[in-house]
Amino acid sequence: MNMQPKHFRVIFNGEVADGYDPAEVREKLAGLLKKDAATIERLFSGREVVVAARVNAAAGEKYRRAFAAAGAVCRVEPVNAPDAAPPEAGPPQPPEGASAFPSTPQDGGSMIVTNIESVPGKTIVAHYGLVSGSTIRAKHLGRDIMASLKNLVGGELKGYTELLRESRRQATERMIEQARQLGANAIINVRFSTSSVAQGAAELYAYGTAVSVR
Amino acid sequence: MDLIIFLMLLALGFFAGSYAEKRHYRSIERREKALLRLPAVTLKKVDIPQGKVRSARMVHGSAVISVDYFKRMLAALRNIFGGKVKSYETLLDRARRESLLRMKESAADADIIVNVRIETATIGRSSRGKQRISCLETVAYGTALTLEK
Repeated sequence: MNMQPKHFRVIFNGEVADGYDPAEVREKLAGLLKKDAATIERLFSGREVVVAARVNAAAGEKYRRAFAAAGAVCRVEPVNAPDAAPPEAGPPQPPEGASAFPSTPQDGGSMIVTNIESVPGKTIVAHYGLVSGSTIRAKHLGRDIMASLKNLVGGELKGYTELLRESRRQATERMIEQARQLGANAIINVRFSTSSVAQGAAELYAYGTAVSVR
Repeated sequence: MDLIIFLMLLALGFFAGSYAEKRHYRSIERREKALLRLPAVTLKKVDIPQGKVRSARMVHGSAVISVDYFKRMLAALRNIFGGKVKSYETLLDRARRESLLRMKESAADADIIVNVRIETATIGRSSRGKQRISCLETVAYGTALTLEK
């Protein structure tokens, strides 16, 4: 079996992603790494600076995402030999474990959700079985009246669209919550389904397979 | 008196409905052109070398669209004779394209959307089986992949 490198280092050479204002990126990075302006200035010196010398794959990925969110481009490369990490450039050391980075609630925190049978670029290491989330929503009277008026002229019923989107989001969140309790970090092969259970109420259901990926 | 109301509703449905439909189609076409660079495919596997994918996340878009009064009458007449219900074809076409567009718009920074599925559900059907509000929801969902530059 192919041995995966255990440790990674995060390198930043002051590169700013297209369309971002360098000053703004600096400010964001300062907040992200909790360092003062002088330390951040060193990061932008143009030379390669090691931000984190030895982190595991998950933490490395977190760094990469957090940097990308701030508009900076960093490189995560594997450290093969255990003593290969060069400690020469006294880099600003952010807290270990990268737990300082705020998770983004829109994509379910660190949970990867896909509807294909794998997570591209990662390998599945454990299966946890089916997870699902559902919610049943009834539309309220005001919206119903508006909808019947709109029904005369046709077109989009914005109130319903909003309602269903909101419920679908909630169903997904419940599914993610269940997967998190199982200790999974990704959900694959997710499907949505809708059914009407009673008059004016609809059930939104999301289900998938919880897995652990690396 | 009932006949007058009926005719008024028909006329309202016809004029407002066709105006709204034309405008919607114009908007759909414009946005489709703008999003041409983001392909959405139904394939599960695409030819992307391993390690080139930076992130994968699920995206979806939905739309609830109803048909106007005039077209509903037309469709009811069609029900007697049978045949192609043209007025409902545009309804479904609009709803699907709109939800696809919304899905693409929510993944504007991605490079490709794979395994796209489109589902249709009728909502607003009352328990007696009679449809009070004839509208349907379409959902498009898929996995947006962002590639390494």
